[in-house]
Amino acid sequence: MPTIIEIKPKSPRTRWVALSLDKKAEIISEGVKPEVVIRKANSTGKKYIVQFIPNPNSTYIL
Amino acid sequence: MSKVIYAFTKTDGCLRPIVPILLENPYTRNNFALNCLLDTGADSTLLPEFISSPLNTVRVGPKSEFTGIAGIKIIAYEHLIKLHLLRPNGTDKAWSSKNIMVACVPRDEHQRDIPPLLGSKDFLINFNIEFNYKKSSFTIEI
Repeated sequence: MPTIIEIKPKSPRTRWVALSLDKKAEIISEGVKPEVVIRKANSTGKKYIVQFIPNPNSTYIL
Repeated sequence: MSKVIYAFTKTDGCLRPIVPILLENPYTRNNFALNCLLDTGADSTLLPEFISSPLNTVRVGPKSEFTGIAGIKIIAYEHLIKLHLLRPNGTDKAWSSKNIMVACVPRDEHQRDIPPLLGSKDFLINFNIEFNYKKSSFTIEI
């Protein structure tokens, strides 16, 4: 059975994270702008996947 | 047919059915992986338009307008993209789309991006999906 992945960014302002592609799924980089998050993750040389962090106060309900 | 089992992702205390998708520019092969929400309430797939930067895609379709559940109007522009559903390990491909036009939404006036959403008519229609919240997993039959 797969395990739930729980994501806890350091900053409450974070809207995007880059997660490592291993079982830990640790946060490699985080921030408000996804382009910056991708650039920082690229600089680490690690494989990663980009993840949106929902803002509880936003109206992004489709 | 094959079945792929995914775990829910927990953010803000909520379980969300999120799957890894490899987005690819079919011409340049530029690609990157993005976790996207399976949105059974959405007609169309909607992606934030920042993806055009790492993929090096351009707007190819006319401007289109979507209305959200709260009646909010959203403007989107189409980009030609290939979607690959990845297995839970985030690397192996489980399924690939044809080259399709995907609606991409620019940042709003507050510089906010929309979350990446996979909708019914261009993505979910390809699969049989079972959600099991009791076991915190969901299964995609390909």
